[in-house]
Order: sequence, then structure tokens, then C-alpha cells
Amino acid sequence: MITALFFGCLCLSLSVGFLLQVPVDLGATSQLRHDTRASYIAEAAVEHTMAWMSHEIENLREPCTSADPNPTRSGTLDSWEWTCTVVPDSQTPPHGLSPLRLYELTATALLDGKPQYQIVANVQAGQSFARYSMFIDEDGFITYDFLVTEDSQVRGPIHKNRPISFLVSPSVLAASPSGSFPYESVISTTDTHHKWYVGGTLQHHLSDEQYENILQNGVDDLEYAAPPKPMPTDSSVLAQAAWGGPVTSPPPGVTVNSMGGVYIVGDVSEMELSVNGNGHFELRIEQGGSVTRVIEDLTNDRRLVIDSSGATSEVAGRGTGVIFATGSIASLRGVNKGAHTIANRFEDGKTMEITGSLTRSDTPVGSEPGVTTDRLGLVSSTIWITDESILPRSVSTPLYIYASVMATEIFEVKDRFSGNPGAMAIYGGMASDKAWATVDFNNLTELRTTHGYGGLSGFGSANIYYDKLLADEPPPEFPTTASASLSIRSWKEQPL
Amino acid sequence: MRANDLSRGATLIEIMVAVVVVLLVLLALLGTIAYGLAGTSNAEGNQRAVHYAQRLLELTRERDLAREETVGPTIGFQDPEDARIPLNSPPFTDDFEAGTGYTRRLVTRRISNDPTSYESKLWEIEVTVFWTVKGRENLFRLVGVDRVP
Repeated sequence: MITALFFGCLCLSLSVGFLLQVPVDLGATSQLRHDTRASYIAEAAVEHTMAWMSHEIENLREPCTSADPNPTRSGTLDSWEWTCTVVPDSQTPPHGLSPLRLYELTATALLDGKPQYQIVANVQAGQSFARYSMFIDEDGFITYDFLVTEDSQVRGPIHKNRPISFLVSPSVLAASPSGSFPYESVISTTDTHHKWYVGGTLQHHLSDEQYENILQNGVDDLEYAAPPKPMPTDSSVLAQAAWGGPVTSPPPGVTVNSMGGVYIVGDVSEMELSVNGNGHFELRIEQGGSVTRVIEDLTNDRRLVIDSSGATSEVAGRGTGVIFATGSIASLRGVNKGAHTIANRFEDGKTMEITGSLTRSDTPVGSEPGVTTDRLGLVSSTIWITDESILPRSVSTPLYIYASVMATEIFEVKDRFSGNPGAMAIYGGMASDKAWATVDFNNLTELRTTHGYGGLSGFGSANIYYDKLLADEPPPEFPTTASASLSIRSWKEQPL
Repeated sequence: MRANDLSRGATLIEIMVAVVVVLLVLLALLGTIAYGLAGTSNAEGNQRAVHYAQRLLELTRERDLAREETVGPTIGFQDPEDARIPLNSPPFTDDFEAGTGYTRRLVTRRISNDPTSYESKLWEIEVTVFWTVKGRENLFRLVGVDRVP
């Protein structure tokens, strides 16, 4: 009897325990259904708000204004309600004027008026072009967008607003060490695939293995079939950053305003960057016979401007770091220290010519940067690498360019049809409207390797060593993609 | 006297009572187990339905189905009206196994047809996943939004 009662109690306890567990399971499932629905409602709130913000920016209206700095959007979806509040960061209008704008969105899903689920997302409007290793807007007169060879490589994100054309060395492409290329047929071009050429012959359709080979040898992160991203059409943002606000009646020559950078009216015959004996960054600007030197004394939070006569004036503040010229810059070279963007009025076709290496004080020449103390951006219509007579070329002494470069027309080697082959290394990234022209082609189909930069094995090279640090922390006011293009930078969600 | 009491065997009545108690308890236990198993099965069914609905919604967004396969200015891709078609019916042939026991109905619609409105860039995606337990149809409905970038 006692045994029976013992087992009876044991079984009863088990059954009660089991019975209690059932509602827990059912409750958890019900909660899962509820939370899943709620999370999609909150996500819809974020999407709604981003679409609205994008629409506002597209129509040249700020989503956040002085009158309503933190607008709250609301709506309904599938018997739920949602709200979403937009908070701009300290540099985003109405607080600041940065073209790279950041907003925090807090979206809440509500049921019967009660908050159920929340998403906090950080949204960025516009992306710096410095985030690309190579960006190409349109097709140029050069057949190929870039070369993938043993010697010439592009590492990092690549984007083109049209199909990309590779010129691929057979030995890079072929899986076998013999270098034989397994594809014989020539297939007509289409606008929907990558094209690639071997020995001047158009090929088509890469095998996975070959494509993987290209990825490993030349392109780490090819951004393909992404929405087109237009390049900037005017330099007003840069001009304002250099002036320190809306540009009003600038005098001829060099102006340094406390809230701006360096504003130059007219052509520049020579611009040289250096670090002086006191360890300060010095900018030497020559216009005709007139030389102006600007010294950044960051220790004392001031800049010294020394004009042609030797007279020195002091300007308070570190400035924006933007150096803007309304005309062309005929010669640019030197060592950068600090964060600077050198730009000119590219919409008027003003050009910039690199006549020597552009290095940085925080990184040994030839090494990949590991810090962001020194950052340099170059923005112009056409950016030239000068003639060999001015800048001697050889494969053993590379031309170093430590910068994020943007040519709204083309990046080009001036005498790529003559002279010696050279080696060039860009530590940063390159954005241009047309594919860069650095080597000599015959009839636009056959690569000649005896001149310029970027030939095949043993004949020079043109490498881009992508600087991700520059992508994360671009040079000051370096152009961004259209602000209306919004992207999510962080995302946190939780049931309430 | 005590020794005699202890050594005395159980009476027939005592044994019958004990058997009845044990049987009742066992019956209750079996009933609970059956109920629990049904509940667990129901919970699993629900969880799978939630998973399928999420997957369908995400695939619809990933492949831009709402925008790419429009059947009208405000109507995007949609399954036949009032239909319950297998999860792996086109265009998700390779995304779900055959014979899951679940069916679906997917409807997409543009939130606004006014091109000047920002809502014209938003598509509503409604996914309903159906499954049957003991002849009774269950469903899970999920609504999300897709935005034209």
C-alpha cells in the first residue's frame, strides 16, 4: 500500500510537472509569433522613415530642421502602429553641415497603443568615395578598366557604374601553372556581364575557379551590380570648407580664414607639402612669381601665413584642412602631415599635376599605413602624372601616392606613349569618371608594355593598396555619394 | 502485538484501493503526456511556420520580387488568390524541400501609386504560412516592408 502510494505520488508529481511545462512551451511559441511580427513592424517603421528621409534630401530639404530637430514619423501596418524618431548627430544639419550625415532612428512597434518592440538604427546619408579602392563612373576611351597581372593589382572594394572590363594576364587567370587559357571562343559583348580580355581578345563567362583567382590576385571585394552612384558635379562643398562658409568676394591669391582652410584664387604653378624643422606641416603655394607659405602650428592652435614679402600673419584655429584653388595646380608633390584635402574647381575642368611622390609623415615610404594621423585627399577634374622629363620613371623607384584620389574626368599618365616604364603605388584609393589611362595601347586592344605605368610582368606596375583606415576616416570633406542614398551602419533590436 | 500487526498481509480491499490509485495516477500521467506531446508538437509546428514565413519574406526582399514581377501598378508578385500552394512552388523551387506539409500565400503591393510620394518606393509584403493539425488548419501571417534603395 505504502509502495503504491509512493509511486502514485511520484507519478502525480511528474504529471503535474509535465502539465505545467505545456503552457510554458505554448507561451514561448506565442511570444515568438508576437515578437516576430512586432520586429517586422518596427523594421517597417525604419524603412518608412528612411524612404521619407531619402525623399526629403533628394528634394533638397533637410529631414531635421531647427524648428523640428528630431522629427517623429508614425503610421499603421497590419493592425499595428509604429513610430520612428530621427535624431541627427552633432555634425549633421541642423547642427553641422557635414556632407556625410549620420542619424539615429528609434523605431517602436505598438499594439493597442502599448510599445512592444524597439529598433535603434544608425543611418548614414551618403558614403565617402574614399571607401573604394577603385571607383569608375563611365566607360573611357581605354578598352579596359584595369589590369590584373602578377605585378599590377587592385585590392579592396571596386565599383563601376557600368559593366567592368578586366584585362587579365593568362598566368593569373589560368588554373594550370603552364598558363594555358582554356577558353577559345570569342563571345559577343553584353551589357550584363563582366568582360575580360586575354591577348586583346574578348572573352566571356568566368568559371568560378577563374573568378576566384581574380579575386585572390587582384580584386578582394568587387562591388558589382550595385546601384549606380553618381559622382559629384560641383566643388561648392569643398570651396565653402576652404573659405569657412559661403564664399563671398574672395581676393586674388591665398586667403586663410579662421573657420576655413586655405582658399586660393587663380592657378597655382607649384604646390609643395612638407614638414618643417619644428615638425609643423608647411604648405608652399607659388602663383606666378608670388610665394605664400602656410604653416600649421597645431601646438598653439594657430596657422601662420607668410606672404611673398616675408610678412607673417597669424590665423587662429586649426582650420578645416581643405585647400581649394579656383584654378589648376600645375605641380603638386611633397610630404603630408595632418588631415588635408587638396581640391580645385573641377566642374570648370581645372586640372592637377603630380610632379613627385606624395608621401605622409606618419608612415615610412613603401609601407602600408597603420594609423590615420595623416590623411590626404586629391580632388580635381583631370589628375596627371607628369612627363618623364620632369619626373623620371623606372621600375625600381616607384612613384608613391599616399592619398584618396578623385578625378572627376580621368587619372592619366601624360607621356604614356613614350619614355620608360615605371612603377606606381597608390596607398589609398582611386575614383575617376573614366578608366585611368596609365599605359600604352595599340588600337585600343593590344597592350604595349614599354611605356607608362601598369604594364605586364617585368615592365612596370600600377598597384592600389587599399587603405581601409582612410575609408573609415576619410580626408576632410572628401566627396561623398549622393546624400539621398541612405545606408544602415548599425542595428539593435529588442522586445519591450 | 505490534509484531503481529506488521507481519499481517494486506487485505483484498487494501490491494484493490492501491491498484485503483495507481491506475488513476497512471491514467492521469498518460493523459498529461498525450496533452504535452500535442502541445509540444503544436509549438514545433508554430516555430517552423514562423521560420518559413520569415524566410519567404526575406527571399522576396532579397530578390526584389515585389518590384521585379509586377502584375499591376500597385500589385507586385503574388500567389494565386485564395490558394495554398506548397512552399517550394516557383519562384522558390530550390529554397524549400518538397513535402514540408506547409503551404503559403504571398502577396506584395506598392504602398502608394503616387510617384511624387515617398511611399511609392515602399512595397508591402504579406506572407501567410498554413499547416494542418488533425484536420484543423493553422496559419501564421507576417507583414513586412521592402524599400527601393
